[in-house]
Amino acid sequence: MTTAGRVVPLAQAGPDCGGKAAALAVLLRAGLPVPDGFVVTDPSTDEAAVRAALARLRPGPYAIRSSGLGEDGAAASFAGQLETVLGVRDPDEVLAAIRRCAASGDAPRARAYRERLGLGDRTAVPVLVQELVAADRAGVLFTRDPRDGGDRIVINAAWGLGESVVSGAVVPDEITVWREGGARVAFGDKRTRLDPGPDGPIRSDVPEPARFHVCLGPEEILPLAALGWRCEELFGRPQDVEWAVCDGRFWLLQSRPITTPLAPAPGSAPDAVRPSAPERPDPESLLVVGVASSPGQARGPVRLVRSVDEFSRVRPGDVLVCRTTDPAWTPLFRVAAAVVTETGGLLSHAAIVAREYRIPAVVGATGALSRLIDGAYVVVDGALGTVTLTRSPS
Amino acid sequence: MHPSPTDLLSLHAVRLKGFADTGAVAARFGLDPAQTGEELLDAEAYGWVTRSAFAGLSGWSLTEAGRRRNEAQLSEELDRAGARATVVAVHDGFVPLNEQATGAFTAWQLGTAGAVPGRFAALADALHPLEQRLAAQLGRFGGYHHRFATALAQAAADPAWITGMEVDSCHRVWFELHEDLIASLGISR
Repeated sequence: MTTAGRVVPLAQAGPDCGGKAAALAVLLRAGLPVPDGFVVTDPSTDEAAVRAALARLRPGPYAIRSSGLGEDGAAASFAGQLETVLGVRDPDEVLAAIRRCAASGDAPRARAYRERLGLGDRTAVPVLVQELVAADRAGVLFTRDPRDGGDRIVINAAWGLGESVVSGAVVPDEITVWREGGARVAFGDKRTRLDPGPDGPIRSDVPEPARFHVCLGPEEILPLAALGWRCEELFGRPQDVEWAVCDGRFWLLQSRPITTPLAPAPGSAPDAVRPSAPERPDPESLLVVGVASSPGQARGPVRLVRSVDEFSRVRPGDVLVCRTTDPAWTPLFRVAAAVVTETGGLLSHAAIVAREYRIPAVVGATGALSRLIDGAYVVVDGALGTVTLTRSPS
Repeated sequence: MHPSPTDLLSLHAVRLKGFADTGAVAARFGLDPAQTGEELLDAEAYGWVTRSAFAGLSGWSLTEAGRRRNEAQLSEELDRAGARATVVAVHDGFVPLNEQATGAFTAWQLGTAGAVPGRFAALADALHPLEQRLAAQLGRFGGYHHRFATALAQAAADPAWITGMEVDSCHRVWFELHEDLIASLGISR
């Protein structure tokens, strides 16, 4: 190494700071929510300068990630090929993590990846240090549908840090958002979550009903999609974005060009093996999401029932919406077109009884009694866990 | 063993069955149908039960006031019989078992791995000592294990006896016990 490394504030990061940091700097300068940080361009950088830069950030934990020069470029993403260290607090540990990330360009898996793609042989990697977002929920977002290249946002979401989605540790929720309006939600199986702990991230089990509960609320989906569209606009091409939510606030952690070929040529793969994009649920709009508990789709007027004293209001073909059910409620399942409950999971009374009567059920649908309006026509999809508004009763 | 008064039993039978005609209410605790009919008419006059019709069926169900009346009667009885500690302890033992049971019923319905009849036989075995502890103090708790085991035996010929709603299936028996414990302790699910 002949030139000494530098410490560059994230907002000023340019191409010499690596693809990841340079892209985040573009977002930061555009006023988008990116956690504050800095880039260490080379492991030879003066330790005192790094400590001083660290002191200007909020106290840890921090996320330390390599920002490779060939990485996150248009031709290839080094997804998972370079080092990431999450949840470090102590400055000495931050310095050690920076050295590890900087050297990760030498790791055999990263070197092989570079060679296979003909990306040259530079091995010292700029390192990005950022305040770690202690995410309640996080994941990835594609501004084009990976299934067919269609112009719609596809969000993958799970509980805790985004690592669970990126590493494939859980089956994330999948939310598709159409530019023309409308969204579709498919719930995942989010068995575990990763959270910052005192000595690094801790993985824990996600209990029911959260495990099968869609982790983004209907009111959060459009603002997140809008952030994705803004990223695509800034870079002028489809983006693959990492995002997180903490205390109700969205953060962007990474944005890079989508690297897999989109929109396969017609006839290049038989339809049977190519996953198909979902149909847009227009003119319906998403009102409530919950745990998909009994498959099928049904349409009908909402009947809000708060107690047994209101049972006589239920007519055949109504969509029963209530807090919970017990044996007294069982006869309503014989006449209702579908059931939506605010509480419960896949194993709840409402879920089990709805499956017996073969009617769609969405349970654990938080806020259903306040968001759904008595008499409004809705479509309940018991396989997707959604309740959408529809205009006509037919 | 403490016997329960018939007005308590007829109201509690409506609670456990959820929605049932006079004959089914009387049959739940082996009461005289004519006397049960009188008790239900009295309860209706107090606003505790209501008769309604759904999809061609008519039956009794508890009103909100009836639920409160039912829980007050059960609570008083629990203390009079000195059985509260036992019911609390049995409920504590029931909760983890209930997770296994609802998991087994769901797996059975969804046809996923683990839906083997052995799981239901194990539940029947676990149910037996719980019921014995309850029924030793309050006779009205008797019968769950016998009904569950009978449904399980029937299921060998007709699988509807595991989770079906039209027969006294394993799931219905299990859920009724859950409701019974919840009502007796005045707690919510």
